Amino acid sequence: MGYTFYFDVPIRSLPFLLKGTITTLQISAVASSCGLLIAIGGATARMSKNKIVYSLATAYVEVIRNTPLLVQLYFLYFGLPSLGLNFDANTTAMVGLSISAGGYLTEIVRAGIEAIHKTQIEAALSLGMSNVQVFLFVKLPQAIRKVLFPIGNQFIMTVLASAIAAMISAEELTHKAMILESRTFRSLEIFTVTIFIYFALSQALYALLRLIGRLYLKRKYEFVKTLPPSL
Amino acid sequence: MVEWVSSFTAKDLIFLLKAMMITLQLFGSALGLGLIVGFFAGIMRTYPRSVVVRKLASFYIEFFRSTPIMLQVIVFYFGISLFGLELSRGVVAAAGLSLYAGAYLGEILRAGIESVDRRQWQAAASLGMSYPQIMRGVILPQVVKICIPPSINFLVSLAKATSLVSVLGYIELTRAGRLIVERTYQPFLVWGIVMAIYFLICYPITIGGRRLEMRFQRKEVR
Repeated sequence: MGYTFYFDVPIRSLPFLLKGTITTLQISAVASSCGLLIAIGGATARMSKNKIVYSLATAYVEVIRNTPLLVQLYFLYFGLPSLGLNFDANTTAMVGLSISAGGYLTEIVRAGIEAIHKTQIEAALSLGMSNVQVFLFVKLPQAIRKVLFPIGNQFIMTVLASAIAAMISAEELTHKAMILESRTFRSLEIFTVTIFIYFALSQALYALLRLIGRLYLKRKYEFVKTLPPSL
Repeated sequence: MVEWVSSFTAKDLIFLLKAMMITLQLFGSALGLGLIVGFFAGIMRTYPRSVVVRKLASFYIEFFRSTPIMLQVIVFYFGISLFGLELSRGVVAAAGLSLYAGAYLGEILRAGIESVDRRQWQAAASLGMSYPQIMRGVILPQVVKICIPPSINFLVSLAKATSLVSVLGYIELTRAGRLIVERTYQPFLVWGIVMAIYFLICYPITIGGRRLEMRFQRKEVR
């Protein structure tokens, strides 16, 4: 191996990469919050007795879960302008990742709501609460407690999946690394440093989740490690 | 005047279908290699006699679980070129994906091995069986069954991950879609078809995994 490593290239450009890291976190945070809103709607629709509503929500979830995120992003990025919607790459990435996260979160939220015992809902209804009230004050708070860890886990997956948004030139960490590479051609060093930034980031987020679990929920962060990533 | 923009024709569809075959090949070879890697990762992750071996496997799994797959493929691609091996992009892509698959499949195997009751280990050991004998004769036959449903769920993820190999310039389904879009300027049609093809690959796996899971759960209830 006659190769000399020049790790000073990515190290000197660390502030540049960290700027990308912040964009990565911003995109992921927006996508996860919007995705959660979509998911609450999606989960309600998935439990609806109306067949059309149910089928639409099911189709949405299945399409999102069974097609690659990269193709979904391409579909939006290259397709939306021909509908007259001109978003910049960052916005498209947020929209695409929101729709994608929404599909995965729908199933998480639905499982959380379905885990609530029927008698509670009957009790609430017999107290004269409307369906909306039951949903907002009985189902949702419990569901959130139950699914907080899976949602946190999904957030980390969104952070990792957002690297794909570099392919539509959203200005996040991986894209910054690609810019740096095209300027210096120190591909291996730059991408190695970048991958370790992601590693550190997700480890920090796991630690944060564990802390939240201990302080807020008073229970240990349990997390299914065999769950496949959403991409 | 040369006509640069041409409409989407049957030729393009055939091109996409050929690219689909490449995606399927990539998927198959990444899976085959990944099963081997995952087997060793899972065995090492639970190896009772050495902390170092367990920690190594644990770091491997944790690292691949906490980094973006696209970057794993990129780093692997540039890393392998250091060794001066003249490998085709397809081989590098499949090998890169198999490392990612190995991490997840290894973790699934670990979960399976650890779900077997401790007393079975003790009983087998007290019969004088050695570690390889216990593994082969007692543990693995039970574990394989437990591991099948989560592994099938993971397959969908692996099939989708093959799309990220397009970043290396390797022409599989997603790259082929881009090439055709650049020529025909019909993004909705082309990406719609590409999405439909991926869906046709992934959805049967999803359904199969779900059925198996239900059947296994029913057996547990009994």
